[in-house]
This record gives sequence, C-alpha cells and structure tokens, in this order.
Amino acid sequence: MQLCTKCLLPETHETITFDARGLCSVCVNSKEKQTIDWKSRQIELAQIARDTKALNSNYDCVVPFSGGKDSTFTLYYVVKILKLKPLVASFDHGFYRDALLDNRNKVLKKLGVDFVSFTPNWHLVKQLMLASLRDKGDFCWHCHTGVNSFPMRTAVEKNIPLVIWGESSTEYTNYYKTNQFHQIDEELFNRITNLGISPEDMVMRLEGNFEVRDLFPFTFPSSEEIKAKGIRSFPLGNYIEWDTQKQVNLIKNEFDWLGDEVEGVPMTYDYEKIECMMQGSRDYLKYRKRGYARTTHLTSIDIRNGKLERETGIEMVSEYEDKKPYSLQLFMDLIGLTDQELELILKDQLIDPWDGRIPVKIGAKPHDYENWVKKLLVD
Amino acid sequence: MESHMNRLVGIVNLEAGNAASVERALGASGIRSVQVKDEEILKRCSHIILPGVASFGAVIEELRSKNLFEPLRNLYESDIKLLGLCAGMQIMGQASQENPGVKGLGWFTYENVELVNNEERRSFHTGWNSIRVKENQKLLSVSNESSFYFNHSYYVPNVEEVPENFGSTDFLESTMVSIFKHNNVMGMQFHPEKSQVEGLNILKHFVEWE
Amino acid sequence: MNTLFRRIIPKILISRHSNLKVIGGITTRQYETFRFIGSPPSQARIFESNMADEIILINLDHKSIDLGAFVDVVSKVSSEIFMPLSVGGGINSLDQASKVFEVGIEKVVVERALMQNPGEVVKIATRHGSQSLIGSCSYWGSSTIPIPARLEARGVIRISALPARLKLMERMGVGEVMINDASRDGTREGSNLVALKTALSSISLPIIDSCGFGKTQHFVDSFEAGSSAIAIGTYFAFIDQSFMQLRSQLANHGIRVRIK
Repeated sequence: MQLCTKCLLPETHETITFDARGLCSVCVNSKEKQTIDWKSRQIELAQIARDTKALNSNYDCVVPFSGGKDSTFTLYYVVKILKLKPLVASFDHGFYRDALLDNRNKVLKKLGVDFVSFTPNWHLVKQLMLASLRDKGDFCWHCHTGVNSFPMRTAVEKNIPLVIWGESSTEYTNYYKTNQFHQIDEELFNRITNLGISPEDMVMRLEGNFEVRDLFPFTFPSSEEIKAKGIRSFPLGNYIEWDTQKQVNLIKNEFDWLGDEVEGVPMTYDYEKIECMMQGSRDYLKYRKRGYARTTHLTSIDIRNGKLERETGIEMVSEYEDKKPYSLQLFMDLIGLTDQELELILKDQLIDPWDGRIPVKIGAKPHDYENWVKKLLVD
Repeated sequence: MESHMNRLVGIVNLEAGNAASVERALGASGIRSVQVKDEEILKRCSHIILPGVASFGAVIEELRSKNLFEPLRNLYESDIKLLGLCAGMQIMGQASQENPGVKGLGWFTYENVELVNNEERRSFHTGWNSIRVKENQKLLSVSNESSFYFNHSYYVPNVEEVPENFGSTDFLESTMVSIFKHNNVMGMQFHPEKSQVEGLNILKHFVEWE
Repeated sequence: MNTLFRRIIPKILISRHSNLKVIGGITTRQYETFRFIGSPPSQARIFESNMADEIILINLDHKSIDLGAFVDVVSKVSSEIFMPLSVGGGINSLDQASKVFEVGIEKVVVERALMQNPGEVVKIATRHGSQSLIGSCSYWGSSTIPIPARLEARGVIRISALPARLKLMERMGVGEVMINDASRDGTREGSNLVALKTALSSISLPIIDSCGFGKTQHFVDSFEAGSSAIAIGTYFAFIDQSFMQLRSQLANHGIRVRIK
C-alpha cells in the first residue's frame, strides 16, 4: 500500500491524492492553510456575529454539541469570544461514556447555557446499526445522520438563524477545496455524512419494517426549508485556524475538561474521540477495511506539525492498530452478530489494495467497560 | 445592488433549444427567468440566454420563423448582456459547415467547422472535458481545473475579435474555442446546465455580469 | 487524442416493490432482483451531490411500470440533477423515445428493440442523432456455468455472438455501446476484460463497460484496457466508498477522471 512520503496516511484514506513527490493532499492542504489570511476571516466572522445579534432572535445560534474537544471549544468560542447566545443541541446516539458526560456537565454549568438533547428509539437504533454495518461495513449511520440533522432541524423549528459547527472537513479530506467556505448543508450531508443512504433510502433497505416518519430524526432539512428560513450553517474552522493542541489545553484549563483512554490509541492521545463506547470497534472496522485507523491519523497530525518523528509514528501504529478491541464482543452481542457473520460482511467491504488481514492480539479492557455492559445490554 | 433590482433574465424558447433545463439550472441558484417568445419580451431583458441543441441551420431557421433573428442581431454592442450556449454560441458567427449557405448572426467572423476523427476509435465530443485558460482569466471565472459537459460535432476554431478573453479545449486533432467573452457577449460551447456546480456557477457569473 | 475524462456512471435500476407497492431502486444479481436499496430521486440527489459524471436509469419492470409511470420517474430523477441522464428499459419505438426526450434527458438506452424493432432504432438515431443513442448488449461470459434458459429467453446472448451483435449495433447508428456480462452481474468479482477487449477490437464506437465491478483495481483494469466509461449498479450500494473517494483512487492510478 502506498503511504504518504511525509505522514503515514495510506492510499485508502478517503479522497487522498498524491503529488509527483508522493506527498499526500492532506499534507499539501495543511501547508496551504498557513497561507490563508486568518485575520480577514476573523473580521468576517465578527461581522456575521454582529449581523446575527441584530436579528434579535430568541437564540443567536445553535451549537451542535457532544462534549468532545471540538464542540466544547466551539461552544466556548461562541459564548466567550463571539458573545452570542446559543441554544446548545446534542443528539444522543446511545453510547456516551461517563467521563464525557461529566465533562459535558461541567462545561454546560460553568458556561451557563440553554441545552436541548434528543435520544432516538433504541430498537430502531439497533436495527439501523445492523443494516448500516451489513450494507456499508460501518454501523454508525444513525449517529452520522442524527448528529448532523438534529441541530439543523432545531434551528428550522425554532427559527434560529445560525448554526455553528466545529472543525472544517477540509482539515483531513478533499471533499471541498481548502480555501473554500463550505457550508454544512444538504450537499455535504449527501457527500460525506450519510454513506450514500438517505433516510428515504434506508426505509427501503429496512424492507418496510419502519416508516419514513420513524426515520425523521435522521433527516437533514431540505435546502428549500433552510433557505426559506434564511439559516446559515458553517464550521467555525472556516474562520479560525484550527489548532487542536491549543484548543485542548484551553478547555482543560477553562473547564477542567478531562481526557480518557480510547481503545487502539496510545494514552498520549487522551483527548480525541473520547465520547463513544463504540469508538474502538468503529476504528477496528476501519482498519479491517482500509488498513489504517485512529493511531495512524493522530500520529500523522503530529508528524505533519513536526512534533513526532515518522519512525516513532510507525512504531506506535504497529503497536496499537493491529489489534481487536476488547469491546468488539460487546458490540456483536448488542446487535446480534456472530464472528462468521462479521467476517462475511467485511469480506465484501475491502478497499483495495488493503488485504483485510485479521489481527490476532486483543486490546486491554477499558476502565469503564462494566458500565458499558450495564448501560447497553438492557434487554 | 440597484442593477440587481432591474435585472430580467430571458431565455429564448426554441424547440431547437433546451430552455427548460437552463431555467431549472438558474432556479437552483435562486435566479428567476422568463421565456422569450417574442420581440417585446426580448427588449425588456437585461440578460438574454440563447440555448441551442439542434443544428446551426435549425436554430437560425426557428429564430427567423419566430421573428426573433433581426431583433436579436440588433442587440450586439447594446446594454443587454447576451449568452450563447452550444449551437447558440455557434450562430453568433458567420456560417457553419453543418449547413452551408445559412448565415449566422455575424457578430464575429468565425465559421464553424466539423470535428474530424482520423483515429481508430470513433469519438464524438460527447462527455466531460476541461478548458485551458491563461492564468489571469478572472473575467471568465473558470480555471484549468474546471470540467464541463460537451455534446457537439461542429466547433468554433478561433474568435479573431477576441485575442485574449477565451478558453480553449483540445479534442482529437482540433482545438476549439470553448468559452469567450467580448463586448456584451459571452459564448459557451459546453452545456453549463449539465455541468453541475461549476456549470451553475458560470451561469450565475453571467447573470451577475453588469 | 481523445481528451474526454473517463466516466463512471451509476445505474439506477427500478422495479415495483411487491409489498410496499412503491417504485424503488434495486440491485440485481445475474439479472434477478437482489435488494431494494433506495428511492430513485433520492439516489439521484446523492449522486448529484457527489458529482457523478452521468446517470443511467433503467426500467427493469415493464409489466408493472408502464411508459407513463416510467416518464414520471424519469421526470422526478431529472429534476434532482444537473448532469447528463440516459434512460432505457422497454423503449421500443421512436414515439416512446421522443416522449422521454421531452422530459429533458440526453440519451436513450435500447437493448431488445435492437433485435425486435430495428427499424425504430434506426429512426431514433436519425431523428435524435447517434450521440443520443446507447445500444446495450447483455452476454453470458462464464465459461464454467452454462447460460440459464431464463436469460437466453430474455435475449442474453452467448459470448461467441458478441462481435457480430456489436457490429450490427454499429451499423444501426448507435453512438455508444454498453456491454454487460450477466454472469458477473452483482457478483463484484471483477468485470470481463476478455469480452471488453473483444468488443474494442470489433467496433470503433466508445464502449461503456458494465457488470462485476467490486474493487478499485477492476475499474483501473477496465479503463486501461480502453473502456470510455463504466456503468455500475451494485458497487456503490454496498460498500463504504463514495463516488468522490473512488475517483481519487483512480486518479492515483493515473486514470484521467474528473476530480474536484
């Protein structure tokens, strides 16, 4: 498999391309980002904030929120820097970990904001996870679509003119050009979020066991609806230079935000993707399909920023990625899948030239694993 | 901003054209348009689009039979902005090998020639292709990375009146003018209404041209 | 030099769901209905967002989707997209073809009409132009499994008959030819490169390769062998790989494709 000559991303990474020297598009874009006139973008953002406040709505904006590092920083920025009044909206995918919920509690109370949350039907969630895994080798359809749809629908229903998201998709992928001010809209939903399956399509894939109205929580509002209400929806990363380390330090100081261990990732990266119990299994499936996962992604960022030697990155990847997560069995028990069934599904999901080898080692038991079992295996 | 209020985009409605597709493409960018069926509406427009999908001769004949040929011809170098698409661009020249003897609008001296294929595999220029523009072609709002949908058998070899403001496309042994802008006229050999985001953007660019 | 970008064309195949009664998009396996995978306009919208190159929409269920219902679906799909649309499935006459052209599509696809109503096919080519006509040919490429009787009855030909059939289509005036190996349909095990090469040497028209695509390498092989386009029904339905992702991978292999 071809890897970038600088970082460790392989040719199976979504939308990656390589230049004549073998340098990947993510590395190239990262350099390009340094040439952007961030000062003028910040001025633009300040103007957007002023225009929004002048509308005098009940809330100035919706901030989609999980409690992870990006949405926490975004919320901080909206409240403290932009001085906007947000309605904080969170989609509960069903798998939030305790440490993350503690972080959320601290952040929301310390900032003093209105907060609204939505939890979809657990039976449907499990059906969607199985259907999505079977058809796409990715069980997170309900989460991708719900997380993206709920804040937008909240804005539409409550007539809130602005939705501010976190990181721009151009940080690590090429679905949009680096310098492009991309929106979080129906096009992005269809291009990046929904795995090529709309809620209408999913109803058909579920063989009519659920109706269109049951899939409503996962439905992104139409472009017409959004335009009619005049709602703007964009990532904060369009307007400010995204610096993960700085942002993590800030939220740790401001809110006593705490990191957590994540399966398949070295402890030094205690700030990324700490939200979800299924993160380990999700990253594992990506490894089986594409031959790389979370540790590759994180070490590549550090290599790109000159904070890690490529060789050290390679060692960390080989130690942490070629492993089955301890929680994989829990995931399979939850949705009712055997080992053979999973292997059958993964066989067709290979993104070549990855060979789809099966790791032998099993990862360590997460410290809060018993809580996961208690929360998930209810029936 | 004021001109925006006075803007009226007209699409010449021909059977030899696909006005409906263009109308829908403009609609996607929030731009309303009217169908131009007679001289009266033609004269009230600030921007006029002439989409042609049939032959050079068919488009000219229909314009004449609808009494639109002369009124349209008189709009060159006026305040009204004009856009010719595919055959609509071709008829802005003198003539075409496709229909010898038929006269075009004559705004430009070019004569359309047939795309010749001397290669093993027969190919129509039906598909996506790119455009070569000089680096500072902001006037045209396309780049060398853009791609557009083409579907034609005759092409414009050069536009003498426009030494700078054009983009060209290579196909087989031919180099054609695929886009140009001169005076109050723009021409596009490709179909922007079938070229997704880039096509919609370039239509928007025309409509916002003042 | 043919500078056109190579095209990847999603196929939306439609059929009426027996229980739900609605018209849905399906995938097939060796030309039998395999799964219902979505709503045709919704799928079209998604492909538009992903900047697909073209869409082919085929009615596989003429018994319960008549021309009127089909034109309705074509219209709904067409209104979601700003790219070329080719439609087919039961188009047997100039009259029927003209009705679908009125919706605002670019090309019609004919298969059975080539044998059953050749005169009408020639009329379509004359009236609407060769560039607006795709001739489709289904063949059985497997050398180990004999061609099922049901498929032979539906007009799927033996691979030995492929060159003659293609030459006939060329004489009729089609602008492009689509070849489909029914034995590989929906299997994702790889397309029939031998048949493709035979086709390329039999006629001088652009060829759309179809059936069997499951891995990036399959696409690379087909394009390198000389296909102008690849039409896929199953691939995007069941893999975590979007249009834009596939196109990047192909670009990395040196194939001339559109990328944003």
